[in-house]
This record gives sequence, C-alpha cells and structure tokens, in this order.
Amino acid sequence: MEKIAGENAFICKWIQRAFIHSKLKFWRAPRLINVGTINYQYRNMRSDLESDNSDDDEREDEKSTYDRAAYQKYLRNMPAEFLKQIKDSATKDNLPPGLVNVSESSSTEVSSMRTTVTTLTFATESEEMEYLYSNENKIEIRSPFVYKSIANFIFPTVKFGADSDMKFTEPNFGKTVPANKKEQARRICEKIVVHLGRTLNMGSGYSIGVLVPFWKAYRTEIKDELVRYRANVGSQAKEMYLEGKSIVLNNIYLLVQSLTLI
Amino acid sequence: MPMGDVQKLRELCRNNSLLNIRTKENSEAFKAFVCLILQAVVHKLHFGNSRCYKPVSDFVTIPDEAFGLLILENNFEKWEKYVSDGRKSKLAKKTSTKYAPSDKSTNWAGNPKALARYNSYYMMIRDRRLLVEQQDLENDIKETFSVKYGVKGRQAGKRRFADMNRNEETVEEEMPALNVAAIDSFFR
Repeated sequence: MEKIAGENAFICKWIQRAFIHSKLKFWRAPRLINVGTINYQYRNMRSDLESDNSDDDEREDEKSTYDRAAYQKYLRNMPAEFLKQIKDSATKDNLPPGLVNVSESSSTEVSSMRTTVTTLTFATESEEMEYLYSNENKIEIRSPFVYKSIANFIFPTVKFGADSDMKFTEPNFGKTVPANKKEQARRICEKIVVHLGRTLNMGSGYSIGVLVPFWKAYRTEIKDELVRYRANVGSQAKEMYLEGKSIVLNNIYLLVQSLTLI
Repeated sequence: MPMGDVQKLRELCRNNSLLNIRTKENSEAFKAFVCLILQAVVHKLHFGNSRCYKPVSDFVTIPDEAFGLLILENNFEKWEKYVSDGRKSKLAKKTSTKYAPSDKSTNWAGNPKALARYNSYYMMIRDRRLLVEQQDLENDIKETFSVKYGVKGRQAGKRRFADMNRNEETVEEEMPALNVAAIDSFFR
C-alpha cells in the first residue's frame, strides 16, 4: 500500500475525522425498557395453563431491564396469542399492562381492574354525587390551557356568584332538577364543558361522572378570579373617575377648559 | 382626558337615573361613562386596541357594561367624598358603598338588591343596543377615538422609524412597465 503524503494525507485525515464525528453524532445509547410487568403476565398465563405452582420470589427475579435488541428478541419468542391478549386488554380501557389479569377457566376473556370500578352501581343520583365529591381521586387533571379558555369564556359574561358557598362548591348535577332551578355554578359548568367541545353522553346532557370531576378541578380558581376581577375593576374605575374629576376641580385648569371635556 | 360631559354623568348618578344613560339626551354622559368606567371594566389594553376600529357594543359585552354601571352607582358617594375632601381623606375611606351590608364589610356583590339592579341594567342595555340612535352614537364615539388616537396603531420592528420620517410627497412613483424582456438586458 502506497504511503499518502503531503496534501492528500491532510485531506484523508480530515475525512476520517469527519466520518468519526458523524458516527458519534448520530450514535445513541440503547434504550432500556422495563418489561418486568409484561414478563410477569406472560408467566402468569403460562403457569395457569400448565398448572405449575411457582413461588413469588422467582417472579421477582424475572423483573429485569433489557436493551432494545433483547426486548425485540424477547417479544419474538413470546407466543402470539398471549401477546395479542395483553395488547387488546390494555388498549380496551387505556390501562397499563400491569393491571391485566387472565382467568383460568376462560382463557379468551380478559378482565381488568378498571372494569370492576366502573361497574359500581348507585341507587340514586345523590349517592353517586356524594361518592364523587367525597372521593379525592375523582378529580380531573388541571390543565392551564383549559383554564385559559375558561377564563376568556367566563369572565366577560359572568360577574357575580349568585349561589351560596355550599351551592357553589357542590352544586346539584342531578338530571331531575328542572331547568329553572339549576344553580348558577351548574349552568356555568355545563356551558364550559360545551364550550370546550367535550363529547356528549348518550341521552340528555352530560353525566355526573363528567361534570363533578371537572368542576372539582376548576371551581376554586374560578371563584378566586371572580373576586379578584371585581376588586381590580373597582379600584381601576375609581382611579379613572378621580382623574377625570381632578381636572374639573383644579382651579388652574378650570379657566382654560370648560366642564365639557373634549 | 375623557370626552363627553362628566358633569351630566354626575347628575345622573345623583338622581339615581342611570337607567336612562342610553338615551339621546344623555349621549354626552354615555361618552364620559365609556371613557371613565368601561376602560377599567374591559382591560385598558383591550380597550385601547379596539376603540378606534370597532363600535363599543362589539368589544364590550352586555354584562361588562351593566357591571360598569353598577360599580359607578355603588361607589358614587364614596368617590364624591374623595373628590371633595382629597384622596387621602379618612372620612372618604370610612364611608360605605351603596350596596355594602355594613360599614366594615365590603362584600357588596352578595347583596340581592345589587343583583336585581344588575339584572335591570342588563335588560335595559340589551334592548337599547338594538336601536339605530345608539348604534349611530357608538359609531360617533369610534370616529372621535380614531381622530384622536389615529387609526394606525403603533408599529413594531425596524420599519416603524422609516415610516415616521417618510412624507407622502417623497414617495417614489412606480416604474412603468418595460417593453423589453428582463433577460434581454444581459446581452446589451
């Protein structure tokens, strides 16, 4: 092999460096994926079918992290039926795969933790409302963007809270309440939900399950902002009024300007 | 400096006849009300941005206007005392507003009388806004604002200084269209 000398050597050196640099630039560390939960389910299914009694300690050992290639390999080895079941059940109720259980008697049916919660039945609407108001977990996640649109929608139209404190914090969202006797807070809540374009439930209006968590998330801010807005407007209007008056009262300006100000 | 007659607005407040503010006789009082109170209700920036381009009813909602009237009615006596005794007077500070339940509490918004009054203002404004007289008055206000403050808003960026210095006479005329195609000029 001929030795490269002079300018050519210099160019080659730089090309080599650029190549290494580009490689380094686009090189990414392999992502580690926690597949412990899926592995756990897969083992559960297998043990149910094969009727093996395995210990919990062994299961814990199997929870481990893999790199991307190992994870792909692991998925390829897993039987397609089990994989499909896990995916279906997870996407059904937007659940993380860890919550999925498979019963032994009917391998095709998949039950989840979420379904047991939704099947809670209440005799009356008031019971359901009490449950939703009292349960701290039943609250919508607050979004600043949603609040901004609410603020732009509400404060030009609503100025006063006609309800008492109790009625404002926990309005009656029952469907039996006639339209005339709906609380202001309830009307505001319904208007906001319609304004945000939330999908309507089947039947008439929104269900209690939608309205109560939504109202719980935003009620305090709405009330505080209403009070703050009133106070701000009062103080600003006062300043403007006094500024307008001071020109009239001031004797020096009174000679120059008439009372009718242009 | 507000336009309109502030004195007429004061008289209306004294006589407790603010419900007649949107009439032909009290047009000057309405102008003063727009300048003094509505500016505070519909934040100053929003008011400043749209006063030259839109009539009042386009950027001020009916609840806004009713709320402004109610604030004026509620605080009128207190503000008058401030005007007569000076801004730092203790007497004016201690005087309660019209719809306040007591001297100390300031929670006037919960008063049912205030709510009833607000509703009556709302109904009045809703009806009067449809009248042609009032629409003309609003257009007049818009024009006076546009004359006073200029239709063109403040420009941002580099070009604003260039536009400020440029006169209408010095604007260059557009070049007449050439018969020769642009590519031909390279060969001559």
